[in-house]
Amino acid sequence: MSYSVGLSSILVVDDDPIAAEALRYTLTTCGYDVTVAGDGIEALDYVRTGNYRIVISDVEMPKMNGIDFCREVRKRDACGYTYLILLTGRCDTDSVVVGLNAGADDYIAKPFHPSELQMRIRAGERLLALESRDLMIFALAKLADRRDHETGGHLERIREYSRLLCLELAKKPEYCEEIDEVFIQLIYDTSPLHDIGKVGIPDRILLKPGRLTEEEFKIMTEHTQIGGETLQAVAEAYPRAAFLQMAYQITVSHHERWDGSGYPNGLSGREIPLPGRIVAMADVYDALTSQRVYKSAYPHDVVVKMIQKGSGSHFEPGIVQAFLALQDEFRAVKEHYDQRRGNKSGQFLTQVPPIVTSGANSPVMDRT
Amino acid sequence: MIHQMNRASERNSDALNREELVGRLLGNAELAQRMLCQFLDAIPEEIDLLESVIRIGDPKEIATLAHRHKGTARTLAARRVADVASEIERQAWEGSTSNLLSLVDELRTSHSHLQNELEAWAGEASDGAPE
Repeated sequence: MSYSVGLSSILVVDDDPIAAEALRYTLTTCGYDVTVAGDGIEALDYVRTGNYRIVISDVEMPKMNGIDFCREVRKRDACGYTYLILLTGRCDTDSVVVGLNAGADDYIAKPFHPSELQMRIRAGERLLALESRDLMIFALAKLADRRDHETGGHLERIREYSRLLCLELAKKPEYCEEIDEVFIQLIYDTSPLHDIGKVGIPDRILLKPGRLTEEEFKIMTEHTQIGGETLQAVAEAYPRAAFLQMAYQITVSHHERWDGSGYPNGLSGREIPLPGRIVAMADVYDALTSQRVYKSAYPHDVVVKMIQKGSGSHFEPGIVQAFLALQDEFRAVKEHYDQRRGNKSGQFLTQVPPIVTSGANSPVMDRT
Repeated sequence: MIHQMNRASERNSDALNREELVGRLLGNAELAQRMLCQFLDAIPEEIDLLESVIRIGDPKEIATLAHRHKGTARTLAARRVADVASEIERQAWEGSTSNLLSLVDELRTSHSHLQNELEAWAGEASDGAPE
Protein backbone atom coordinates (compact mmCIF):
# COMPACT_ATOMS: atom_id res chain seq x y z
CA MET A 1 0.00 0.00 0.00
CA SER A 2 1.28 3.47 -0.81
CA TYR A 3 0.68 6.02 1.90
CA SER A 4 -0.26 9.63 1.44
CA VAL A 5 2.02 11.92 3.40
CA GLY A 6 1.15 15.19 5.08
CA LEU A 7 -1.97 15.91 3.08
CA SER A 8 -5.19 16.98 4.70
CA SER A 9 -6.69 17.22 8.12
CA ILE A 10 -9.61 14.84 8.34
CA LEU A 11 -12.48 15.02 10.78
CA VAL A 12 -13.98 11.67 11.82
CA VAL A 13 -17.47 11.81 13.30
CA ASP A 14 -18.60 8.66 15.06
CA ASP A 15 -20.21 7.99 18.43
CA ASP A 16 -18.71 4.49 18.47
CA PRO A 17 -15.26 4.91 20.03
CA ILE A 18 -14.01 1.62 18.59
CA ALA A 19 -15.04 2.43 15.04
CA ALA A 20 -13.60 5.93 15.46
CA GLU A 21 -10.33 4.56 16.79
CA ALA A 22 -10.03 2.11 13.87
CA LEU A 23 -10.53 4.97 11.44
CA ARG A 24 -8.16 7.25 13.28
CA TYR A 25 -5.40 4.66 13.30
CA THR A 26 -5.78 3.81 9.61
CA LEU A 27 -5.92 7.43 8.49
CA THR A 28 -3.07 8.53 10.73
CA THR A 29 -0.92 5.72 9.36
CA CYS A 30 -1.79 6.94 5.86
CA GLY A 31 -0.38 10.36 6.73
CA TYR A 32 -3.47 12.33 7.64
CA ASP A 33 -4.07 14.51 10.66
CA VAL A 34 -7.17 13.12 12.32
CA THR A 35 -9.59 14.63 14.81
CA VAL A 36 -12.54 12.69 16.21
CA ALA A 37 -15.94 14.14 17.15
CA GLY A 38 -18.58 12.05 18.90
CA ASP A 39 -21.67 13.57 17.28
CA GLY A 40 -22.83 16.05 14.67
CA ILE A 41 -23.04 19.02 17.03
CA GLU A 42 -19.44 18.65 18.17
CA ALA A 43 -18.39 18.05 14.57
CA LEU A 44 -20.02 21.29 13.39
CA ASP A 45 -17.85 23.23 15.83
CA TYR A 46 -14.77 21.66 14.28
CA VAL A 47 -15.99 22.31 10.73
CA ARG A 48 -16.55 25.97 11.57
CA THR A 49 -12.86 26.37 12.37
CA GLY A 50 -12.21 25.91 8.66
CA ASN A 51 -9.43 23.43 9.37
CA TYR A 52 -11.19 20.35 8.03
CA ARG A 53 -11.88 20.00 4.32
CA ILE A 54 -12.62 16.27 4.45
CA VAL A 55 -15.10 14.80 6.91
CA ILE A 56 -15.97 11.14 7.36
CA SER A 57 -19.17 10.75 9.30
CA ASP A 58 -21.26 7.94 10.68
CA VAL A 59 -25.01 8.27 10.04
CA GLU A 60 -26.64 7.02 13.22
CA MET A 61 -25.48 9.22 16.05
CA PRO A 62 -27.08 10.87 19.09
CA LYS A 63 -27.86 14.62 19.26
CA MET A 64 -27.40 15.20 15.53
CA ASN A 65 -27.29 12.36 13.04
CA GLY A 66 -25.06 12.23 9.98
CA ILE A 67 -27.79 13.32 7.57
CA ASP A 68 -28.66 16.47 9.53
CA PHE A 69 -24.96 17.13 9.99
CA CYS A 70 -24.47 17.08 6.20
CA ARG A 71 -27.33 19.54 5.76
CA GLU A 72 -25.87 21.90 8.34
CA VAL A 73 -22.43 21.79 6.75
CA ARG A 74 -23.88 22.55 3.34
CA LYS A 75 -25.67 25.61 4.68
CA ARG A 76 -22.33 27.08 5.61
CA ASP A 77 -19.70 25.95 3.18
CA ALA A 78 -20.09 28.29 0.23
CA CYS A 79 -16.78 29.94 1.09
CA GLY A 80 -14.82 26.72 1.27
CA TYR A 81 -16.06 23.32 0.21
CA THR A 82 -16.13 20.48 2.73
CA TYR A 83 -15.95 17.00 1.24
CA LEU A 84 -18.36 14.77 3.15
CA ILE A 85 -18.14 11.00 3.20
CA LEU A 86 -20.83 9.03 4.99
CA LEU A 87 -19.67 5.80 6.55
CA THR A 88 -22.56 3.52 7.38
CA GLY A 89 -23.85 0.01 7.54
CA ARG A 90 -26.99 1.09 5.67
CA CYS A 91 -26.02 1.23 2.01
CA ASP A 92 -29.35 0.38 0.39
CA THR A 93 -30.41 2.69 -2.45
CA ASP A 94 -32.90 4.67 -0.37
CA SER A 95 -30.35 5.41 2.35
CA VAL A 96 -27.72 6.42 -0.19
CA VAL A 97 -30.16 8.76 -1.93
CA VAL A 98 -31.12 10.40 1.36
CA GLY A 99 -27.46 10.90 2.25
CA LEU A 100 -26.43 12.31 -1.10
CA ASN A 101 -29.49 14.54 -1.17
CA ALA A 102 -28.48 15.93 2.21
CA GLY A 103 -25.16 16.99 0.73
CA ALA A 104 -22.85 14.00 1.20
CA ASP A 105 -20.31 13.53 -1.58
CA ASP A 106 -19.68 9.85 -1.12
CA TYR A 107 -20.68 6.74 0.77
CA ILE A 108 -18.52 4.03 2.25
CA ALA A 109 -20.00 0.82 3.62
CA LYS A 110 -19.14 -0.18 7.17
CA PRO A 111 -16.87 -1.86 7.94
CA PHE A 112 -14.40 0.04 5.82
CA HIS A 113 -11.55 -1.44 3.85
CA PRO A 114 -8.37 0.65 4.16
CA SER A 115 -7.56 0.69 0.43
CA GLU A 116 -11.08 1.70 -0.51
CA LEU A 117 -11.10 4.35 2.20
CA GLN A 118 -7.88 5.82 0.89
CA MET A 119 -9.12 5.88 -2.72
CA ARG A 120 -12.33 7.61 -1.70
CA ILE A 121 -10.36 10.24 0.17
CA ARG A 122 -8.16 10.79 -2.85
CA ALA A 123 -11.28 11.39 -4.93
CA GLY A 124 -12.22 14.04 -2.41
CA GLU A 125 -8.78 15.58 -2.59
CA ARG A 126 -9.06 15.82 -6.36
CA LEU A 127 -12.33 17.67 -6.01
CA LEU A 128 -10.88 20.01 -3.42
CA ALA A 129 -7.96 20.69 -5.74
CA LEU A 130 -10.51 22.12 -8.16
CA GLU A 131 -11.25 24.70 -5.51
CA SER A 132 -7.65 25.83 -5.85
CA ARG A 133 -8.53 26.42 -9.48
CA ASP A 134 -11.39 28.60 -8.28
CA LEU A 135 -9.00 30.59 -6.14
CA MET A 136 -6.88 31.22 -9.21
CA ILE A 137 -9.98 32.41 -11.08
CA PHE A 138 -10.68 34.79 -8.25
CA ALA A 139 -7.11 36.05 -8.21
CA LEU A 140 -7.35 36.77 -11.92
CA ALA A 141 -10.61 38.63 -11.44
CA LYS A 142 -9.06 40.58 -8.57
CA LEU A 143 -6.20 41.66 -10.75
CA ALA A 144 -8.57 43.07 -13.34
CA ASP A 145 -10.82 44.61 -10.72
CA ARG A 146 -8.02 46.38 -8.89
CA ARG A 147 -7.79 49.06 -11.55
CA ASP A 148 -11.12 50.66 -10.78
CA HIS A 149 -12.17 49.36 -7.36
CA GLU A 150 -9.25 50.36 -5.25
CA THR A 151 -11.00 49.87 -1.92
CA GLY A 152 -11.58 46.20 -2.69
CA GLY A 153 -14.37 43.96 -1.48
CA HIS A 154 -16.42 44.42 -4.65
CA LEU A 155 -15.88 40.91 -5.98
CA GLU A 156 -16.42 39.28 -2.59
CA ARG A 157 -19.72 41.10 -2.21
CA ILE A 158 -20.84 40.37 -5.76
CA ARG A 159 -20.50 36.65 -5.34
CA GLU A 160 -22.14 36.73 -1.92
CA TYR A 161 -25.10 38.76 -3.25
CA SER A 162 -25.39 36.40 -6.20
CA ARG A 163 -25.39 33.38 -3.93
CA LEU A 164 -28.06 34.91 -1.69
CA LEU A 165 -30.27 35.69 -4.68
CA CYS A 166 -29.89 32.14 -5.95
CA LEU A 167 -30.83 30.63 -2.61
CA GLU A 168 -33.96 32.80 -2.50
CA LEU A 169 -34.90 32.20 -6.13
CA ALA A 170 -34.41 28.44 -5.75
CA LYS A 171 -37.41 28.42 -3.41
CA LYS A 172 -39.66 29.51 -6.25
CA PRO A 173 -41.13 27.02 -8.72
CA GLU A 174 -40.19 29.08 -11.80
CA TYR A 175 -36.49 28.99 -10.89
CA CYS A 176 -35.95 25.81 -8.89
CA GLU A 177 -35.49 23.66 -12.01
CA GLU A 178 -32.52 25.71 -13.12
CA ILE A 179 -31.05 26.79 -9.80
CA ASP A 180 -29.63 23.79 -8.00
CA GLU A 181 -26.57 23.44 -5.79
CA VAL A 182 -24.25 23.18 -8.76
CA PHE A 183 -25.67 26.37 -10.26
CA ILE A 184 -25.21 28.22 -6.98
CA GLN A 185 -21.63 27.06 -6.58
CA LEU A 186 -20.84 27.99 -10.18
CA ILE A 187 -22.31 31.47 -9.90
CA TYR A 188 -20.41 31.96 -6.65
CA ASP A 189 -17.18 30.93 -8.33
CA THR A 190 -17.59 32.74 -11.64
CA SER A 191 -19.50 35.94 -10.86
CA PRO A 192 -16.23 37.71 -9.89
CA LEU A 193 -15.20 37.43 -13.54
CA HIS A 194 -18.10 39.60 -14.72
CA ASP A 195 -15.90 42.64 -15.43
CA ILE A 196 -12.77 40.85 -16.57
CA GLY A 197 -13.10 42.57 -19.95
CA LYS A 198 -12.25 45.88 -18.31
CA VAL A 199 -8.60 44.97 -18.75
CA GLY A 200 -9.17 46.17 -22.33
CA ILE A 201 -10.60 49.58 -21.37
CA PRO A 202 -8.13 52.50 -21.25
CA ASP A 203 -7.49 54.15 -17.86
CA ARG A 204 -8.59 57.54 -19.16
CA ILE A 205 -12.10 56.12 -19.55
CA LEU A 206 -12.21 53.52 -16.81
CA LEU A 207 -10.98 55.93 -14.15
CA LYS A 208 -12.59 59.10 -15.43
CA PRO A 209 -14.50 60.95 -12.71
CA GLY A 210 -17.97 62.04 -13.73
CA ARG A 211 -20.00 61.41 -16.82
CA LEU A 212 -18.53 59.76 -19.90
CA THR A 213 -18.98 61.19 -23.37
CA GLU A 214 -21.00 59.18 -25.88
CA GLU A 215 -17.82 57.93 -27.49
CA GLU A 216 -16.21 57.02 -24.15
CA PHE A 217 -19.35 55.24 -23.04
CA LYS A 218 -19.37 53.23 -26.25
CA ILE A 219 -15.81 52.13 -25.54
CA MET A 220 -16.73 51.31 -21.94
CA THR A 221 -19.57 49.03 -23.07
CA GLU A 222 -17.04 46.97 -24.99
CA HIS A 223 -15.80 45.41 -21.76
CA THR A 224 -18.66 42.92 -21.89
CA GLN A 225 -17.65 41.81 -25.39
CA ILE A 226 -13.94 41.74 -24.62
CA GLY A 227 -14.52 39.55 -21.57
CA GLY A 228 -17.19 37.50 -23.32
CA GLU A 229 -15.08 36.78 -26.39
CA THR A 230 -12.11 35.80 -24.25
CA LEU A 231 -14.11 33.42 -22.12
CA GLN A 232 -16.03 32.07 -25.10
CA ALA A 233 -12.79 31.13 -26.81
CA VAL A 234 -11.64 29.26 -23.71
CA ALA A 235 -15.07 27.66 -23.25
CA GLU A 236 -14.98 26.36 -26.82
CA ALA A 237 -11.58 24.82 -26.20
CA TYR A 238 -12.86 23.18 -23.00
CA PRO A 239 -16.54 22.46 -23.69
CA ARG A 240 -16.95 20.23 -20.64
CA ALA A 241 -15.96 23.00 -18.23
CA ALA A 242 -19.38 24.21 -17.05
CA PHE A 243 -17.83 27.05 -15.07
CA LEU A 244 -16.46 28.60 -18.27
CA GLN A 245 -19.92 28.51 -19.85
CA MET A 246 -21.40 30.30 -16.88
CA ALA A 247 -18.51 32.77 -16.67
CA TYR A 248 -19.08 33.59 -20.33
CA GLN A 249 -22.83 34.08 -19.86
CA ILE A 250 -22.32 36.37 -16.89
CA THR A 251 -19.60 38.43 -18.51
CA VAL A 252 -21.44 39.01 -21.74
CA SER A 253 -24.94 39.55 -20.33
CA HIS A 254 -24.72 41.30 -16.97
CA HIS A 255 -25.40 44.70 -18.61
CA GLU A 256 -28.43 43.50 -20.53
CA ARG A 257 -31.75 44.82 -19.25
CA TRP A 258 -35.07 43.07 -18.84
CA ASP A 259 -36.77 45.53 -21.25
CA GLY A 260 -34.13 45.09 -23.96
CA SER A 261 -32.45 48.46 -23.51
CA GLY A 262 -29.15 47.11 -22.20
CA TYR A 263 -25.93 46.14 -23.95
CA PRO A 264 -24.12 44.57 -25.78
CA ASN A 265 -26.85 42.60 -27.59
CA GLY A 266 -30.07 44.30 -26.51
CA LEU A 267 -31.47 41.01 -25.21
CA SER A 268 -34.71 41.17 -23.27
CA GLY A 269 -36.62 39.07 -20.75
CA ARG A 270 -35.58 35.46 -20.56
CA GLU A 271 -33.38 35.81 -23.62
CA ILE A 272 -30.88 37.08 -21.07
CA PRO A 273 -29.22 34.09 -19.40
CA LEU A 274 -30.36 33.70 -15.80
CA PRO A 275 -26.82 34.06 -14.36
CA GLY A 276 -26.55 37.40 -16.16
CA ARG A 277 -29.89 38.59 -14.78
CA ILE A 278 -28.86 37.65 -11.24
CA VAL A 279 -25.39 39.18 -11.39
CA ALA A 280 -26.88 42.35 -12.92
CA MET A 281 -28.83 42.86 -9.71
CA ALA A 282 -25.85 42.08 -7.49
CA ASP A 283 -23.57 44.35 -9.49
CA VAL A 284 -25.93 47.31 -9.54
CA TYR A 285 -26.69 47.04 -5.82
CA ASP A 286 -22.98 47.00 -5.07
CA ALA A 287 -22.19 49.86 -7.44
CA LEU A 288 -24.89 52.05 -5.96
CA THR A 289 -23.97 51.40 -2.34
CA SER A 290 -20.25 51.95 -2.99
CA GLN A 291 -18.19 55.02 -3.65
CA ARG A 292 -16.52 55.16 -7.05
CA VAL A 293 -14.31 57.69 -8.80
CA TYR A 294 -17.33 59.04 -10.63
CA LYS A 295 -19.88 59.03 -7.79
CA SER A 296 -20.56 58.88 -4.07
CA ALA A 297 -22.31 56.00 -2.36
CA TYR A 298 -26.07 55.85 -1.87
CA PRO A 299 -27.53 54.61 1.41
CA HIS A 300 -29.06 51.15 1.38
CA ASP A 301 -32.66 52.38 1.74
CA VAL A 302 -32.29 54.72 -1.23
CA VAL A 303 -30.83 51.91 -3.33
CA VAL A 304 -33.73 49.63 -2.45
CA LYS A 305 -36.12 52.24 -3.84
CA MET A 306 -34.03 52.65 -6.97
CA ILE A 307 -34.04 48.92 -7.60
CA GLN A 308 -37.78 48.72 -6.98
CA LYS A 309 -38.27 51.42 -9.61
CA GLY A 310 -36.16 49.40 -12.02
CA SER A 311 -38.37 46.32 -11.74
CA GLY A 312 -39.65 45.29 -15.15
CA SER A 313 -37.37 47.75 -16.96
CA HIS A 314 -33.82 47.22 -15.81
CA PHE A 315 -34.39 44.11 -13.72
CA GLU A 316 -36.47 40.97 -13.92
CA PRO A 317 -39.43 41.43 -11.54
CA GLY A 318 -38.92 38.01 -9.93
CA ILE A 319 -35.34 38.87 -9.08
CA VAL A 320 -36.39 42.23 -7.66
CA GLN A 321 -38.86 40.37 -5.43
CA ALA A 322 -36.06 38.09 -4.27
CA PHE A 323 -33.88 41.12 -3.60
CA LEU A 324 -36.62 42.79 -1.56
CA ALA A 325 -37.00 39.63 0.51
CA LEU A 326 -33.25 39.63 1.07
CA GLN A 327 -32.59 43.32 1.57
CA ASP A 328 -31.54 42.92 5.21
CA GLU A 329 -29.06 40.22 4.21
CA PHE A 330 -27.69 42.45 1.46
CA ARG A 331 -27.18 45.24 3.93
CA ALA A 332 -25.51 42.83 6.36
CA VAL A 333 -23.10 41.61 3.67
CA LYS A 334 -22.22 45.17 2.76
CA GLU A 335 -21.64 46.11 6.40
CA HIS A 336 -19.63 42.96 7.02
CA TYR A 337 -17.17 43.73 4.24
CA ASP A 338 -17.01 47.41 5.16
CA GLN A 339 -16.13 46.49 8.74
CA ARG A 340 -13.61 43.88 7.65
CA ARG A 341 -11.74 46.43 5.62
CA GLY A 342 -12.27 49.31 8.02
CA ASN A 343 -14.04 51.10 5.17
CA LYS A 344 -16.83 53.54 5.25
CA SER A 345 -18.97 53.68 2.18
CA GLY A 346 -17.78 57.22 1.64
CA GLN A 347 -19.95 60.27 1.34
CA PHE A 348 -23.58 59.36 0.84
CA LEU A 349 -25.89 60.76 -1.78
CA THR A 350 -29.42 60.75 -0.49
CA GLN A 351 -31.41 61.87 -3.48
CA VAL A 352 -32.78 59.13 -5.71
CA PRO A 353 -31.56 59.73 -9.25
CA PRO A 354 -33.89 59.07 -12.16
CA ILE A 355 -33.78 55.53 -13.49
CA VAL A 356 -32.53 55.63 -17.06
CA THR A 357 -34.42 53.02 -18.98
CA SER A 358 -32.69 53.43 -22.31
CA GLY A 359 -29.19 52.30 -23.03
CA ALA A 360 -27.97 55.82 -22.48
CA ASN A 361 -25.09 56.85 -20.31
CA SER A 362 -26.38 56.76 -16.77
CA PRO A 363 -23.51 57.52 -14.42
CA VAL A 364 -24.80 55.22 -11.72
CA MET A 365 -26.41 52.27 -13.42
CA ASP A 366 -24.22 51.64 -16.43
CA ARG A 367 -20.75 52.14 -15.05
CA THR A 368 -20.81 49.18 -12.73
CA MET B 1 3.66 -9.18 7.24
CA ILE B 2 2.40 -11.52 4.50
CA HIS B 3 3.68 -14.45 6.53
CA GLN B 4 1.90 -13.15 9.60
CA MET B 5 -1.31 -12.61 7.68
CA ASN B 6 -1.24 -16.18 6.34
CA ARG B 7 -0.82 -17.56 9.82
CA ALA B 8 -3.65 -15.36 11.00
CA SER B 9 -5.98 -16.59 8.30
CA GLU B 10 -5.48 -20.13 9.50
CA ARG B 11 -7.06 -19.08 12.77
CA ASN B 12 -10.10 -17.32 11.39
CA SER B 13 -13.39 -18.51 12.79
CA ASP B 14 -17.03 -17.62 12.72
CA ALA B 15 -16.48 -15.70 15.97
CA LEU B 16 -13.51 -13.66 14.77
CA ASN B 17 -11.82 -13.10 11.43
CA ARG B 18 -8.36 -12.10 12.55
CA GLU B 19 -7.08 -11.57 9.02
CA GLU B 20 -9.81 -9.10 8.21
CA LEU B 21 -9.40 -7.22 11.48
CA VAL B 22 -5.63 -7.00 11.34
CA GLY B 23 -5.83 -6.01 7.68
CA ARG B 24 -8.21 -3.19 8.54
CA LEU B 25 -5.69 -1.94 11.07
CA LEU B 26 -2.88 -2.14 8.55
CA GLY B 27 -1.20 -5.11 10.24
CA ASN B 28 -1.32 -3.88 13.82
CA ALA B 29 -2.33 -7.03 15.74
CA GLU B 30 -1.63 -5.43 19.10
CA LEU B 31 -4.11 -2.66 18.43
CA ALA B 32 -6.62 -5.23 17.16
CA GLN B 33 -6.45 -7.15 20.43
CA ARG B 34 -6.68 -3.97 22.46
CA MET B 35 -9.82 -2.91 20.61
CA LEU B 36 -11.37 -6.34 21.07
CA CYS B 37 -10.69 -6.07 24.80
CA GLN B 38 -12.32 -2.66 24.87
CA PHE B 39 -15.37 -4.06 23.08
CA LEU B 40 -15.67 -7.08 25.37
CA ASP B 41 -15.26 -4.93 28.48
CA ALA B 42 -18.19 -2.76 27.44
CA ILE B 43 -20.43 -5.67 26.50
CA PRO B 44 -22.09 -6.56 29.85
CA GLU B 45 -23.41 -3.04 30.24
CA GLU B 46 -24.57 -2.87 26.62
CA ILE B 47 -26.35 -6.20 26.82
CA ASP B 48 -28.08 -5.23 30.06
CA LEU B 49 -29.25 -2.05 28.41
CA LEU B 50 -30.48 -3.95 25.37
CA GLU B 51 -32.34 -6.40 27.53
CA SER B 52 -33.98 -3.56 29.45
CA VAL B 53 -35.30 -1.85 26.34
CA ILE B 54 -36.56 -5.18 25.02
CA ARG B 55 -38.49 -5.67 28.25
CA ILE B 56 -39.81 -2.10 28.03
CA GLY B 57 -40.83 -2.87 24.45
CA ASP B 58 -39.30 0.09 22.62
CA PRO B 59 -38.57 -1.27 19.11
CA LYS B 60 -36.86 1.89 17.85
CA GLU B 61 -34.45 1.99 20.77
CA ILE B 62 -33.84 -1.77 20.46
CA ALA B 63 -33.01 -1.33 16.78
CA THR B 64 -30.73 1.62 17.51
CA LEU B 65 -28.75 -0.26 20.16
CA ALA B 66 -28.55 -3.42 18.06
CA HIS B 67 -27.46 -1.41 15.00
CA ARG B 68 -24.66 0.19 16.95
CA HIS B 69 -23.56 -3.14 18.38
CA LYS B 70 -23.61 -4.66 14.91
CA GLY B 71 -21.48 -1.81 13.55
CA THR B 72 -18.81 -2.21 16.22
CA ALA B 73 -18.78 -5.99 15.77
CA ARG B 74 -18.37 -5.63 12.01
CA THR B 75 -15.51 -3.19 12.47
CA LEU B 76 -13.87 -5.83 14.65
CA ALA B 77 -14.64 -8.62 12.17
CA ALA B 78 -16.63 -10.42 14.88
CA ARG B 79 -19.03 -11.97 12.40
CA ARG B 80 -21.22 -14.08 14.66
CA VAL B 81 -21.86 -11.22 17.08
CA ALA B 82 -22.61 -8.93 14.15
CA ASP B 83 -25.04 -11.44 12.62
CA VAL B 84 -26.99 -11.89 15.85
CA ALA B 85 -27.11 -8.13 16.46
CA SER B 86 -28.26 -7.65 12.88
CA GLU B 87 -31.07 -10.15 13.41
CA ILE B 88 -32.17 -8.32 16.58
CA GLU B 89 -32.18 -5.05 14.65
CA ARG B 90 -34.19 -6.55 11.79
CA GLN B 91 -36.82 -8.07 14.05
CA ALA B 92 -37.08 -4.85 16.06
CA TRP B 93 -37.76 -2.82 12.91
CA GLU B 94 -40.38 -5.35 11.89
CA GLY B 95 -41.99 -5.02 15.31
CA SER B 96 -41.46 -8.69 16.03
CA THR B 97 -40.30 -8.64 19.64
CA SER B 98 -41.33 -12.09 20.90
CA ASN B 99 -38.04 -13.77 19.99
CA LEU B 100 -35.71 -10.98 21.01
CA LEU B 101 -34.82 -12.19 24.51
CA SER B 102 -33.67 -15.54 23.16
CA LEU B 103 -31.57 -13.66 20.60
CA VAL B 104 -30.00 -11.72 23.45
CA ASP B 105 -29.01 -15.05 24.99
CA GLU B 106 -27.52 -16.03 21.66
CA LEU B 107 -25.66 -12.73 21.64
CA ARG B 108 -24.20 -13.54 25.07
CA THR B 109 -23.04 -16.93 23.79
CA SER B 110 -21.44 -15.26 20.77
CA HIS B 111 -19.64 -12.83 23.04
CA SER B 112 -18.38 -15.74 25.09
CA HIS B 113 -16.97 -17.37 21.94
CA LEU B 114 -15.37 -14.10 20.97
CA GLN B 115 -13.83 -13.83 24.43
CA ASN B 116 -12.39 -17.33 24.01
CA GLU B 117 -10.97 -16.42 20.61
CA LEU B 118 -9.33 -13.34 22.03
CA GLU B 119 -7.82 -15.26 24.94
CA ALA B 120 -6.49 -17.90 22.57
CA TRP B 121 -5.00 -15.20 20.37
CA ALA B 122 -3.44 -13.41 23.34
CA GLY B 123 -2.03 -16.76 24.55
CA GLU B 124 -0.42 -17.39 21.17
CA ALA B 125 1.09 -13.93 21.23
CA SER B 126 2.52 -14.37 24.74
CA ASP B 127 3.93 -17.78 23.70
CA GLY B 128 5.82 -15.93 20.99
CA ALA B 129 3.78 -17.29 18.11
CA PRO B 130 3.33 -14.84 15.22
CA GLU B 131 -0.18 -13.54 14.84
